[in-house]
Amino acid sequence: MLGNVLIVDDSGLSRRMVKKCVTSTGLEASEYLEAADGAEALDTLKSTSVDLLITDLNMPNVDGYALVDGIEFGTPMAPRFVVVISSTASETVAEELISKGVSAVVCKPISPDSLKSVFEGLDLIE
Amino acid sequence: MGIEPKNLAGWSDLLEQAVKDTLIPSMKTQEYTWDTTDIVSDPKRLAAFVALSSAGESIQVGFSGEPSDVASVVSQMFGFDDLEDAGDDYSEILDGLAEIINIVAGALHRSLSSDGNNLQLSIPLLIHGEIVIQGKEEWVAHRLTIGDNNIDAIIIRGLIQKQKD
Repeated sequence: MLGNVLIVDDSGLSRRMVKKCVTSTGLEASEYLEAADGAEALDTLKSTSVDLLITDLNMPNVDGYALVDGIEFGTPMAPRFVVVISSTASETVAEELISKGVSAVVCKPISPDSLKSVFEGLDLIE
Repeated sequence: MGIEPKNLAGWSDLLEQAVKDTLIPSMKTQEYTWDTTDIVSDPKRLAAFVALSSAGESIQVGFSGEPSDVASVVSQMFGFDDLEDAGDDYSEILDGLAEIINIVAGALHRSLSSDGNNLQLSIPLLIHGEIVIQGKEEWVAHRLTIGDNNIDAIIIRGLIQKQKD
Protein backbone atom coordinates (compact mmCIF):
# COMPACT_ATOMS: atom_id res chain seq x y z
CA MET A 1 0.00 0.00 0.00
CA LEU A 2 1.14 3.53 -0.83
CA GLY A 3 1.68 6.11 1.92
CA ASN A 4 0.06 9.53 1.80
CA VAL A 5 -1.32 11.02 -1.42
CA LEU A 6 -1.37 14.83 -1.67
CA ILE A 7 -3.80 16.37 -4.19
CA VAL A 8 -3.07 20.00 -5.12
CA ASP A 9 -5.68 22.09 -6.93
CA ASP A 10 -7.31 25.45 -6.24
CA SER A 11 -10.69 23.97 -7.15
CA GLY A 12 -12.28 21.94 -4.36
CA LEU A 13 -14.44 20.15 -6.90
CA SER A 14 -11.36 19.17 -8.92
CA ARG A 15 -9.68 17.79 -5.82
CA ARG A 16 -12.80 15.69 -5.18
CA MET A 17 -12.78 14.49 -8.77
CA VAL A 18 -9.07 13.62 -8.74
CA LYS A 19 -9.51 11.67 -5.49
CA LYS A 20 -12.49 9.84 -6.97
CA CYS A 21 -10.49 8.94 -10.10
CA VAL A 22 -7.46 7.85 -8.05
CA THR A 23 -9.50 5.56 -5.80
CA SER A 24 -11.27 4.16 -8.89
CA THR A 25 -7.92 2.94 -10.24
CA GLY A 26 -7.60 0.57 -7.27
CA LEU A 27 -4.65 2.45 -5.80
CA GLU A 28 -4.58 2.00 -2.03
CA ALA A 29 -3.14 4.82 0.04
CA SER A 30 -2.77 5.54 3.77
CA GLU A 31 -4.40 8.95 3.61
CA TYR A 32 -5.52 11.53 1.08
CA LEU A 33 -4.32 15.04 1.86
CA GLU A 34 -5.30 18.22 0.01
CA ALA A 35 -3.72 21.59 -0.72
CA ALA A 36 -5.28 24.58 -2.53
CA ASP A 37 -2.05 25.82 -4.10
CA GLY A 38 1.68 25.22 -4.34
CA ALA A 39 2.47 27.12 -1.15
CA GLU A 40 0.14 24.94 0.92
CA ALA A 41 1.59 21.85 -0.74
CA LEU A 42 5.18 22.85 0.03
CA ASP A 43 4.16 23.50 3.66
CA THR A 44 2.62 20.04 3.85
CA LEU A 45 5.78 18.46 2.42
CA LYS A 46 7.86 20.08 5.19
CA SER A 47 5.91 18.27 7.90
CA THR A 48 4.39 15.19 6.27
CA SER A 49 5.76 12.30 4.27
CA VAL A 50 4.03 12.09 0.89
CA ASP A 51 4.45 9.19 -1.51
CA LEU A 52 2.40 10.55 -4.38
CA LEU A 53 1.74 14.21 -5.15
CA ILE A 54 -0.81 15.03 -7.85
CA THR A 55 -0.97 18.67 -8.90
CA ASP A 56 -2.68 21.03 -11.28
CA LEU A 57 -0.48 23.60 -13.06
CA ASN A 58 -2.75 26.63 -13.44
CA MET A 59 -3.37 27.88 -9.88
CA PRO A 60 -3.35 31.28 -8.18
CA ASN A 61 -0.56 32.28 -5.76
CA VAL A 62 2.07 29.55 -6.11
CA ASP A 63 1.24 27.59 -9.28
CA GLY A 64 2.20 24.07 -10.29
CA TYR A 65 5.40 25.15 -12.04
CA ALA A 66 6.63 26.93 -8.90
CA LEU A 67 5.60 23.93 -6.81
CA VAL A 68 7.69 21.61 -8.97
CA ASP A 69 10.60 24.06 -8.75
CA GLY A 70 10.19 24.14 -4.95
CA ILE A 71 10.34 20.37 -4.48
CA GLU A 72 13.82 19.20 -3.59
CA PHE A 73 13.83 16.06 -5.70
CA GLY A 74 16.20 13.39 -4.46
CA THR A 75 15.83 14.38 -0.81
CA PRO A 76 13.77 12.50 1.81
CA MET A 77 11.28 15.40 1.91
CA ALA A 78 10.36 14.97 -1.77
CA PRO A 79 7.39 12.82 -2.79
CA ARG A 80 8.38 9.53 -4.42
CA PHE A 81 6.13 10.33 -7.37
CA VAL A 82 4.85 13.64 -8.74
CA VAL A 83 2.06 13.56 -11.33
CA VAL A 84 1.04 16.80 -13.04
CA ILE A 85 -2.51 17.13 -14.35
CA SER A 86 -2.94 20.01 -16.74
CA SER A 87 -5.24 21.41 -19.38
CA THR A 88 -2.44 23.35 -21.04
CA ALA A 89 0.82 21.39 -20.88
CA SER A 90 2.27 20.98 -24.36
CA GLU A 91 4.77 18.23 -25.20
CA THR A 92 7.63 20.70 -24.66
CA VAL A 93 6.33 21.72 -21.22
CA ALA A 94 5.77 18.07 -20.28
CA GLU A 95 9.36 17.22 -21.24
CA GLU A 96 10.65 20.14 -19.20
CA LEU A 97 8.64 19.08 -16.14
CA ILE A 98 9.83 15.50 -16.45
CA SER A 99 13.44 16.68 -16.72
CA LYS A 100 12.93 18.43 -13.36
CA GLY A 101 11.79 15.23 -11.66
CA VAL A 102 8.07 14.97 -12.43
CA SER A 103 7.03 11.33 -12.93
CA ALA A 104 4.22 11.89 -15.45
CA VAL A 105 2.10 14.60 -17.05
CA VAL A 106 -1.58 13.87 -17.73
CA CYS A 107 -3.86 15.95 -19.91
CA LYS A 108 -7.27 17.13 -18.62
CA PRO A 109 -9.99 16.01 -18.56
CA ILE A 110 -8.72 13.04 -16.60
CA SER A 111 -10.52 9.75 -16.20
CA PRO A 112 -9.90 6.67 -14.05
CA ASP A 113 -8.52 4.95 -17.18
CA SER A 114 -6.01 7.70 -17.96
CA LEU A 115 -4.75 7.70 -14.36
CA LYS A 116 -4.71 3.90 -14.24
CA SER A 117 -2.34 3.69 -17.19
CA VAL A 118 -0.07 6.30 -15.55
CA PHE A 119 -0.06 4.42 -12.23
CA GLU A 120 0.65 1.14 -14.04
CA GLY A 121 3.57 2.80 -15.79
CA LEU A 122 4.92 3.92 -12.42
CA ASP A 123 4.36 0.43 -10.93
CA LEU A 124 1.97 1.88 -8.36
CA ILE A 125 -0.69 -0.65 -9.32
CA GLU A 126 -0.54 -3.88 -11.27
CA MET B 1 2.41 38.92 -34.35
CA GLY B 2 -0.33 39.19 -31.69
CA ILE B 3 -3.08 36.72 -31.12
CA GLU B 4 -4.35 34.46 -33.89
CA PRO B 5 -6.89 33.95 -35.36
CA LYS B 6 -7.70 37.61 -35.93
CA ASN B 7 -11.45 37.21 -36.47
CA LEU B 8 -14.02 36.01 -33.96
CA ALA B 9 -15.52 33.56 -36.46
CA GLY B 10 -12.19 31.73 -36.41
CA TRP B 11 -12.31 31.66 -32.62
CA SER B 12 -15.87 30.31 -32.70
CA ASP B 13 -14.76 27.39 -34.86
CA LEU B 14 -11.81 26.66 -32.57
CA LEU B 15 -13.97 26.90 -29.45
CA GLU B 16 -16.60 24.56 -30.88
CA GLN B 17 -13.87 22.04 -31.71
CA ALA B 18 -12.44 22.30 -28.18
CA VAL B 19 -15.94 21.77 -26.73
CA LYS B 20 -16.38 18.71 -28.97
CA ASP B 21 -13.03 17.29 -27.87
CA THR B 22 -13.32 17.89 -24.13
CA LEU B 23 -16.84 18.57 -22.84
CA ILE B 24 -19.15 16.65 -25.14
CA PRO B 25 -17.58 13.17 -24.61
CA SER B 26 -18.48 13.37 -20.89
CA MET B 27 -22.12 14.26 -21.45
CA LYS B 28 -24.95 11.70 -21.23
CA THR B 29 -26.22 12.89 -24.61
CA GLN B 30 -23.47 13.61 -27.07
CA GLU B 31 -25.65 15.28 -29.66
CA TYR B 32 -25.50 19.03 -29.40
CA THR B 33 -26.38 22.21 -31.26
CA TRP B 34 -24.26 25.35 -31.51
CA ASP B 35 -26.32 28.36 -32.56
CA THR B 36 -25.46 32.04 -32.58
CA THR B 37 -27.18 33.91 -29.76
CA ASP B 38 -27.10 37.16 -27.77
CA ILE B 39 -25.34 37.56 -24.45
CA VAL B 40 -27.94 37.10 -21.71
CA SER B 41 -27.37 39.54 -18.89
CA ASP B 42 -29.27 38.23 -15.88
CA PRO B 43 -28.32 38.60 -12.22
CA LYS B 44 -29.24 34.97 -11.55
CA ARG B 45 -26.88 33.50 -14.12
CA LEU B 46 -23.47 31.96 -13.46
CA ALA B 47 -20.47 32.45 -15.71
CA ALA B 48 -16.77 31.66 -15.84
CA PHE B 49 -14.24 33.23 -18.19
CA VAL B 50 -10.56 32.80 -18.88
CA ALA B 51 -8.31 35.06 -20.92
CA LEU B 52 -5.89 33.87 -23.57
CA SER B 53 -3.28 36.58 -24.02
CA SER B 54 -0.34 37.20 -26.27
CA ALA B 55 1.73 40.30 -27.01
CA GLY B 56 -0.65 42.69 -25.29
CA GLU B 57 -3.79 41.29 -26.93
CA SER B 58 -6.40 39.29 -25.08
CA ILE B 59 -9.34 37.08 -25.96
CA GLN B 60 -11.74 36.04 -23.22
CA VAL B 61 -13.65 32.81 -23.59
CA GLY B 62 -16.32 31.73 -21.17
CA PHE B 63 -19.49 29.84 -20.43
CA SER B 64 -22.66 31.31 -18.96
CA GLY B 65 -25.91 29.67 -17.95
CA GLU B 66 -28.81 29.28 -15.57
CA PRO B 67 -27.70 27.63 -12.31
CA SER B 68 -29.78 24.49 -12.99
CA ASP B 69 -28.23 24.03 -16.46
CA VAL B 70 -24.73 24.68 -15.15
CA ALA B 71 -25.28 22.23 -12.28
CA SER B 72 -26.42 19.53 -14.68
CA VAL B 73 -23.49 20.00 -17.08
CA VAL B 74 -20.95 20.13 -14.23
CA SER B 75 -22.48 17.00 -12.66
CA GLN B 76 -22.21 15.10 -15.92
CA MET B 77 -18.68 16.31 -16.61
CA PHE B 78 -17.30 15.32 -13.22
CA GLY B 79 -19.58 12.42 -12.37
CA PHE B 80 -21.02 13.83 -9.15
CA ASP B 81 -24.70 13.33 -8.37
CA ASP B 82 -24.96 15.70 -5.44
CA LEU B 83 -24.37 19.03 -7.21
CA GLU B 84 -27.87 19.47 -8.58
CA ASP B 85 -29.33 19.51 -5.03
CA ALA B 86 -27.11 22.27 -3.70
CA GLY B 87 -29.95 24.81 -3.42
CA ASP B 88 -28.77 28.41 -3.54
CA ASP B 89 -25.17 27.60 -2.70
CA TYR B 90 -23.55 27.97 -6.10
CA SER B 91 -19.93 27.88 -4.96
CA GLU B 92 -19.21 24.31 -6.01
CA ILE B 93 -21.16 24.64 -9.26
CA LEU B 94 -19.20 27.79 -10.15
CA ASP B 95 -16.03 25.95 -9.20
CA GLY B 96 -17.00 23.22 -11.66
CA LEU B 97 -17.88 25.70 -14.41
CA ALA B 98 -14.48 27.33 -13.91
CA GLU B 99 -12.81 23.95 -14.24
CA ILE B 100 -14.75 23.21 -17.43
CA ILE B 101 -13.74 26.50 -19.07
CA ASN B 102 -10.19 25.84 -17.89
CA ILE B 103 -10.22 22.44 -19.59
CA VAL B 104 -11.84 23.73 -22.80
CA ALA B 105 -9.54 26.77 -22.99
CA GLY B 106 -6.60 24.49 -22.24
CA ALA B 107 -7.47 22.50 -25.37
CA LEU B 108 -7.64 25.80 -27.30
CA HIS B 109 -4.30 26.80 -25.81
CA ARG B 110 -2.63 23.54 -26.85
CA SER B 111 -4.07 23.78 -30.34
CA LEU B 112 -2.95 27.39 -30.82
CA SER B 113 0.46 26.83 -29.18
CA SER B 114 1.18 24.04 -31.65
CA ASP B 115 0.58 26.62 -34.41
CA GLY B 116 3.36 28.79 -33.00
CA ASN B 117 1.31 31.19 -30.82
CA ASN B 118 2.87 32.01 -27.46
CA LEU B 119 -0.27 32.30 -25.34
CA GLN B 120 -0.79 32.78 -21.62
CA LEU B 121 -3.90 31.31 -20.00
CA SER B 122 -5.34 33.21 -17.03
CA ILE B 123 -6.94 31.95 -13.85
CA PRO B 124 -10.75 31.76 -14.32
CA LEU B 125 -12.90 34.79 -13.49
CA LEU B 126 -16.16 33.67 -11.85
CA ILE B 127 -19.36 35.69 -12.18
CA HIS B 128 -22.66 35.27 -10.36
CA GLY B 129 -24.53 38.18 -11.88
CA GLU B 130 -24.83 40.25 -15.01
CA ILE B 131 -22.20 40.28 -17.71
CA VAL B 132 -21.63 43.80 -18.96
CA ILE B 133 -19.92 44.35 -22.28
CA GLN B 134 -18.53 47.84 -22.74
CA GLY B 135 -19.81 49.13 -26.07
CA LYS B 136 -16.61 48.96 -28.08
CA GLU B 137 -15.74 45.32 -27.43
CA GLU B 138 -16.21 42.74 -30.17
CA TRP B 139 -17.99 39.60 -29.06
CA VAL B 140 -19.77 36.53 -30.32
CA ALA B 141 -21.96 34.09 -28.39
CA HIS B 142 -23.23 30.61 -29.20
CA ARG B 143 -25.94 28.67 -27.41
CA LEU B 144 -24.63 25.18 -26.75
CA THR B 145 -27.59 22.87 -26.26
CA ILE B 146 -26.80 19.39 -24.98
CA GLY B 147 -29.89 17.33 -24.18
CA ASP B 148 -32.11 19.56 -22.02
CA ASN B 149 -29.27 21.87 -20.99
CA ASN B 150 -28.34 25.24 -22.47
CA ILE B 151 -24.98 26.82 -21.87
CA ASP B 152 -23.82 29.93 -23.72
CA ALA B 153 -20.26 29.97 -25.02
CA ILE B 154 -19.01 33.55 -25.24
CA ILE B 155 -15.92 34.99 -26.89
CA ILE B 156 -14.95 38.61 -26.19
CA ARG B 157 -12.09 40.66 -27.52
CA GLY B 158 -11.68 43.14 -24.67
CA LEU B 159 -12.74 43.51 -21.04
CA ILE B 160 -15.49 41.99 -18.94
CA GLN B 161 -16.94 43.68 -15.90
CA LYS B 162 -18.60 42.08 -12.93
CA GLN B 163 -21.79 44.11 -12.45
CA LYS B 164 -23.27 42.44 -9.42
CA ASP B 165 -22.42 39.52 -7.15
